[in-house]
Amino acid sequence: MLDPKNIPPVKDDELLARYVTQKSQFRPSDKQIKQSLFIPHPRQELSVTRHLEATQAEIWSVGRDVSAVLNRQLYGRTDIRAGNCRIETLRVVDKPIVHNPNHADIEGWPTAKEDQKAIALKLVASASKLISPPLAAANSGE
Amino acid sequence: MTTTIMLRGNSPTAAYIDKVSQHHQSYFAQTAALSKQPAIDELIVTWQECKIPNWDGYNAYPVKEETLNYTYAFIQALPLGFPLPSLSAEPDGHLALDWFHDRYWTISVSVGPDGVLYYAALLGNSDPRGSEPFFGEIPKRLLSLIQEVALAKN
Repeated sequence: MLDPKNIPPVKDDELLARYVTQKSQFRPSDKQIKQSLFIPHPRQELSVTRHLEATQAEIWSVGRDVSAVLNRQLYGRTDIRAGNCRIETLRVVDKPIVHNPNHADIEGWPTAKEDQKAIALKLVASASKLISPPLAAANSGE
Repeated sequence: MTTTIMLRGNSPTAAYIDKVSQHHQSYFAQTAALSKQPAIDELIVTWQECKIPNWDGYNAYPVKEETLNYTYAFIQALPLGFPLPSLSAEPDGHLALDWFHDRYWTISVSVGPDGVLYYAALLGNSDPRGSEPFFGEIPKRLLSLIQEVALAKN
């Protein structure tokens, strides 16, 4: 993970993870992520975790922490390049938090719902399909 | 859940047409190929998971019963045989109906508790978006966009 005392700004080629904690946020048939995963509310920012200097185990550990705090099941995550988040007014800003120095926010969302949805669809177009956590994948035989 | 938000008119003839139309709809809805039941089932499961405040742990608004009813009516208003959407809840308490052909041909319609439809689509390089009130029939513009995505060929 990043050194909390030395957090670099987010670069375009960095991978960002967004955790999936709702069954309805992806289609089980093909693991396609839905746009609702990228709708920001009530915050006007969207939380993501940077892959930079993190191992896969650390990325999944953050995801498990997030789902535990939310008291939700961790279905997996989707990854997206930071450069692909620079849509219309959006920007990605490093926002380290306690226990997750790799935390970042996607900021600059418009307020109109239809504009948020248009951006969310574009984020989905660049994001990976659902990546299952290692244990879940092993349990389901994938 | 209500099947119709608004009748087509107030005259006896309009009421008769509406009654016959609903009878035919319910008949065809029982056939496997034309049934909207899979979408209705998904709607109910989604609503039950998201009808309480903070259902996502991030202070999401609850999905209200009015939103459920409007979404149900929207699904019922889809033409028979039309591809069915995939359902999900959004943190502002809206329900979203998504049609997905591929990453660049997709449309999402959000239904709010006030019956307003918010939509956005990706049709290759164009990204139409907007909002429309819902009075029991799907606006033509929206139906046309859904059709473009759902019936798109590779």
